[in-house]
Amino acid sequence: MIWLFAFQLAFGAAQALGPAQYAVSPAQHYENAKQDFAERKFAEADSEVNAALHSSPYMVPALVLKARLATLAHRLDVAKNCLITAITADPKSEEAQFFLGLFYYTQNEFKLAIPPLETAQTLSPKNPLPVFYLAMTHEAVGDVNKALDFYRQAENLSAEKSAQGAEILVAHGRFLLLLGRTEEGVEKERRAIEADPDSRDAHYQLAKGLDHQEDYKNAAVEAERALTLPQLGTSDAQIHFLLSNLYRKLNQPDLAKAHLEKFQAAPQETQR
Amino acid sequence: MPLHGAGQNRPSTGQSPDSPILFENTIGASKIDFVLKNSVSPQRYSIETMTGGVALFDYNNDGLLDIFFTNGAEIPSLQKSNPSFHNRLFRNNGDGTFTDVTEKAGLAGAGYAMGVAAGDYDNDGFVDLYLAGFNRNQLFHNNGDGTFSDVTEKAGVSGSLPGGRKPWSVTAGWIDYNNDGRLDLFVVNYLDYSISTAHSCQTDNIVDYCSPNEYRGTANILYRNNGDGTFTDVSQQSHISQYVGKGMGVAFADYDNDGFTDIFVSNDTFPNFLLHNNGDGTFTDVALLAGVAYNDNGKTVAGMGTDFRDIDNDGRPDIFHAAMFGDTFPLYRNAGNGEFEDVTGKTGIAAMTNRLTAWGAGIFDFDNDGNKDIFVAGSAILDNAMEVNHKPYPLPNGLYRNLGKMKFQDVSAQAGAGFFASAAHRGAAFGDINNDGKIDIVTTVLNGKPQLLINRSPNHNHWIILNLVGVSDNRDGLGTKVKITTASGAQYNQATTAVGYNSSSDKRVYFGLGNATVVDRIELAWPTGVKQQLTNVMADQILTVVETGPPQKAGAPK
Repeated sequence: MIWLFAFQLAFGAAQALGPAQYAVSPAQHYENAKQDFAERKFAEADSEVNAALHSSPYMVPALVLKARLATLAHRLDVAKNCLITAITADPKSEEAQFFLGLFYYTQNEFKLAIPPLETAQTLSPKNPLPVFYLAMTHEAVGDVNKALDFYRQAENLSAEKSAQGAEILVAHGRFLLLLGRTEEGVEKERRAIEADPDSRDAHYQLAKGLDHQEDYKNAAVEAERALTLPQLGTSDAQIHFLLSNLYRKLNQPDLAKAHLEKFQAAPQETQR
Repeated sequence: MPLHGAGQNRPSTGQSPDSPILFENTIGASKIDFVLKNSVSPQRYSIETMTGGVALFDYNNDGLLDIFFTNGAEIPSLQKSNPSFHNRLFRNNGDGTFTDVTEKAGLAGAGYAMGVAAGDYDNDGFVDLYLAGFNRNQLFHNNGDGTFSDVTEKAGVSGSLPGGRKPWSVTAGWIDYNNDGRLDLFVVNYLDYSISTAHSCQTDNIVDYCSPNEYRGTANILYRNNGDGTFTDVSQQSHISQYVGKGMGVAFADYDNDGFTDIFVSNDTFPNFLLHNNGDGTFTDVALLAGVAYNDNGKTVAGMGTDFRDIDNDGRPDIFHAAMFGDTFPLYRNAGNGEFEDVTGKTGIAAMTNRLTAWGAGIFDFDNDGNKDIFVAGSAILDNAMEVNHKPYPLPNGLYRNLGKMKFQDVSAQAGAGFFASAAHRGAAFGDINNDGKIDIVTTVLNGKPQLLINRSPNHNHWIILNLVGVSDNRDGLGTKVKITTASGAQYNQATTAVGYNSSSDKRVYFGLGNATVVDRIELAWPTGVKQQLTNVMADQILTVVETGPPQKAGAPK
């Protein structure tokens, strides 16, 4: 889920990149690549970005875009090389630093992720994304206090009623639930739903929090609501699994059985 | 005697939290000359990455743990075509060295071996060995004179599935499931796989080991001990054969304290099994309802080696198993109502294990502070992992120190250079090899020498090791539940050799006592129902406890 979220956020961040160029030039090739990427025409984007880098091998935004395309193609070695080249060419590129941190984060290389994310944060102190990833990275390495601090910072930096703000609240709430701070976690998830009523992740996490509070009835309501929302992070299978447990606790065996069957019929994502 | 506690966490023992857990790899000085061979092929047959069992057991009753290693074979013939493929038994000389006694013992074996299970199935006082392997399992009876005899056919435990097919058995374990005083045998099977029909898998045109998702699973096997040297396959009547999985690890404990030992099987990318012993000779998989089939997010993981032991001193056996990079290694806390809680995140285990793949695993108190710690033997699965997914193949071992109150600390990097050295680890067995009261570890290394990790932790904590001798029960006392009480509180453990991956650990029951020099009370609940109690027992000894007391076999089926 976090990986997908990382991709979504990174994708969103890329939409806000630099100004368009108007001549046929490396910059124009880059612009074309960016456009193709946004339209999910990845082969075309790769071709354009290669053209840009052929003429201008140290064009940092093009290197970052190339890295992201390489990641999608599972060419992690290429992605890493591009990002390291980019920050070598311009250590003050917040974008390159952020994506290098993001790259390491998605590869579970958490200790390596922290320095570039910290640099990105320093370069752009009002951007919630580097702070948010620092929070998740510190969570992943088990540094609870730092993670909580960064989650709070990210929350403060994000716009209150935005999808991005909701995602940060969801992650913060999930972490609090994991720590057994159920009330605080539930409160975050409620705020996430206020910010983005259609956040499936928020409804799912709220359901889990209410489950911990033994409020099975309302937990089931939230989980049922989550099922109706578009599937991005939390899968249908996860929700059916939770609902099956909730209905069992609510002594509604038919519903529990129905969700269990749906859970078991849903494709499992486990890979090896 | 209620052997389930009240959910308390044991109070501090006064041991300094800074006192390290230290291991020294003494394989170089041990005179153990063994390399685990898997016959890696260009086709990357899946069996190649799966072997590497080790057993710690005292084959000659001299009070010292000896070491047995399984070994691979030539591929595709699956023959141990030369001595480098032989399984190996090393006798403990008691001075840190070992002598290879394989030939005299007659334990070279046949076929492509994987796992090993040690247990005295005929109650003659000498521990026997069962070997699980690809298409071939073997039972070796310990003759008591330093030799073993292959009694597989006579005993009827060669391993076969409905239709007569030979399974790919990964491991096995000895369990007295029907409380009749005789050890029965549970065999864990993996994929429905054959060399002749195996297909090749590739990532970016590089041949690698196939995911288990490419193959169907197989059912496990339960053999009931007839008491005359033979066994009966009761997989069907016990309902074990109903549950088709992709088994990797097995561990036993009576999780609901109903007097019958239950079975946990960790499955690879497949829901785990918690086989509840119904007490009438049948089992029911309750993993889903108990909350151990999937993790908290409803996902299966690549289950590897496992252990089933009370980790929070509340008297209820908890479940841990290793898994793969990105999975995190699940720790399920027994909540006491037939349900388990996934506490992987809140204990800190998730953060410590999310970047590791591991095989062997065990829950033992390595610093004798009264809180059981967790060990895992790290290694990626693909020997060409760097080529395929840019991640290293050899990985270090992991050691997670139990700080009490269900919090853990990753102390792997401080546990000694030999401990933390990256390698292609596979199985791990646990036991006190030099009888100094500290638990040692032997790990296997694919295409390498094993690690003999002698516990050199500098603490002065006290300990007690119980060597159980069953009389009306099975001679090894496997399945016996033990509760001890000291001034610091109560602790719980049980006798079992089924621990981790491919491997078999010392049958003795270990307790770390912290600063307690006396055990106020030791309470034993033997599988047949015999209760036994000892009081005011001095610490720092290996105590042989012979079963006494009237057997209470009410309701125990034969």
